[in-house]
Parts: sequence; structure tokens; C-alpha cells
Amino acid sequence: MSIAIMQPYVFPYVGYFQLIHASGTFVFYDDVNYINKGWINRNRILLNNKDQLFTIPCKEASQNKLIKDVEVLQDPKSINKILLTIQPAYKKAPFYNKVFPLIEEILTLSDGLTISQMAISCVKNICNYLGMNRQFIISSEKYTNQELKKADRLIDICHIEGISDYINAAGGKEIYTKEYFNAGNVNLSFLIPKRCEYIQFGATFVPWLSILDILMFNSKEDIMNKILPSYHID
Amino acid sequence: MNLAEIIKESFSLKEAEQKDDIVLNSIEEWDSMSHMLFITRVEENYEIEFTGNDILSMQTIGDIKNVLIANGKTV
Repeated sequence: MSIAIMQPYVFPYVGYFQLIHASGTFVFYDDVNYINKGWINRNRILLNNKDQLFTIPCKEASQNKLIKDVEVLQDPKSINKILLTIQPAYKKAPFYNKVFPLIEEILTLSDGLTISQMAISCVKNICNYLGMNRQFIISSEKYTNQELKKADRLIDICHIEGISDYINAAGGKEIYTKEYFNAGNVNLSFLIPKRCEYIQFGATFVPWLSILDILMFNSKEDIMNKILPSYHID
Repeated sequence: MNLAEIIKESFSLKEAEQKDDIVLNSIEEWDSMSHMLFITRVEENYEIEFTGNDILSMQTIGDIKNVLIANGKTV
């Protein structure tokens, strides 16, 4: 069995779910610093055959805060605006009727949540929809090793969980070398997604959009059997 | 899409600002997700499959160019 550790992201792109797919245990790394211009609270959907960014507004988001401490801005209008963008964008997609209620639920139940709670709920709900059962752990709720830095903390989490195969997203600030992890009795490998095209509305495929796009255009079976396994690990 | 265009699209870093000694994770728009997507796009565009050691060695823009060149690609 292997473990993956990753910050929580709202409606992330397929690579995030491939990391979950490849692991038996997945840790939401929510007690590390928020990244202002990263992808934690935003992603891209398909609108009129082009990519369109959507952003979950956050209250006083700052790189000095931990992800778990950044609150979603209490602004129903903003959430409604996102839903009103998704609705016409995907209304004619084959799985719209199944997927839109799921998205609506995730977005409208964000009242009083942090971006971390919202993102975790989002990822878990989608995994549940796909029937992808994994052990999910929230780092801030389980581990008291925040004083450890970078790779040492990841290695410590692997030890606590008793898992020696650690899969990382390609690259990362907290990675040293495979030798460093080996010295801690942990095998480090990287997951790299491969493009898996599917039919969207237009003639030209727009790759690497939010998981939302994949859910709208593909059956659960195709996602689980064709799209999610489309990666390599080294 | 060439490397400069992929960097621009992944990290919103203008081509004129893309110096070889820039460490990718020092770019303001860098995070784990953008990096993962960046690596995927480079693989896809250059029709290459990186190894784990390649990924570990690609810290700066110059490092990425070196890995691509070592794999017979033109940057």
C-alpha cells in the first residue's frame, strides 16, 4: 500500500485524483501555508470551447496563514455567480443532470467553512461519486509534527501510518532526493499524468481543466477505467 | 508549444523574465498543482517521459533545459 500527501484543492484537475487513485491512504496537507496565486481556490472550466477561470473568494487570504485557517468569503452572490457560469457552460453535457447537483451541494454548503474544509468536502464527495474508496486523513487533525520541516515531516507521516511507499505529485517544495527518503526507510516516487482525451463540445480538445469537466463529459466507469489510470509513476 | 510558452502558461511568467537561474518554486504563482501540470505539459509537448530523478533535478529553468537537451530535445 502507498500513501500520498497533498494540499487540499477545490475541484482540482485530474492529476490530483490520479494521486488518490494511486494511493491507499491520502493525506490532506492542510496545515501548511496557503499560496495566494496558486490553485487551492480556483480552477478552469470549459466555456464556449475555451477555458474559463473560476475562483472561490476567500477572506483575508494570505501566504502567512495556514490553508486550514483561510475562510471562504461569506458571499452567496459569488457562489451563485460560479453556479450560473457552470450551468449554461455544461447544460448540454451528457452527465450534467447527475453532476450539477453534486457541484451545487458542494458550493452552497460552503457557509462558514474554511477553504480547506470546502476543498476536502469537494474531493471526498467526488471520490464518493466515483466509488473510489480510500482512507482520507486530515493532517492538522492527526499529526503533531508541525515542528518538523519539509521532507522530514513527510517521512514522519509515512512512519506514523506504517507505510513505506510515498507517491508525490511531480515536483514539490518539500522534496529533497530519493536517497534522503530512502535513508528514512521511505520509497519516494512521482506521479505524472498523461493526457487522456474525451469528447467535449468543440472540435478542439481543451486539456487539463478542472475535474468538473471530466465529470460532465464522462461516465463514472470511463473515468475510473480509462481516465484516472492514465498516468505513470517513477 | 515551446518551453517558454509552457512556463508562461503554467506560472504566468513573461518570456522576458524567464532567466535560467530562476528557481521554479520561487515564482509567486507556483504551487504543487501548477508544478504537476507544468511537468505534464512539458512531457506532452516534448514527447518525453521523465524519470523521478529528472523531476528531482529540475529546480531551475536552466535545469529543465538541461534535462530536455540530455534527452535529445531542442529548447
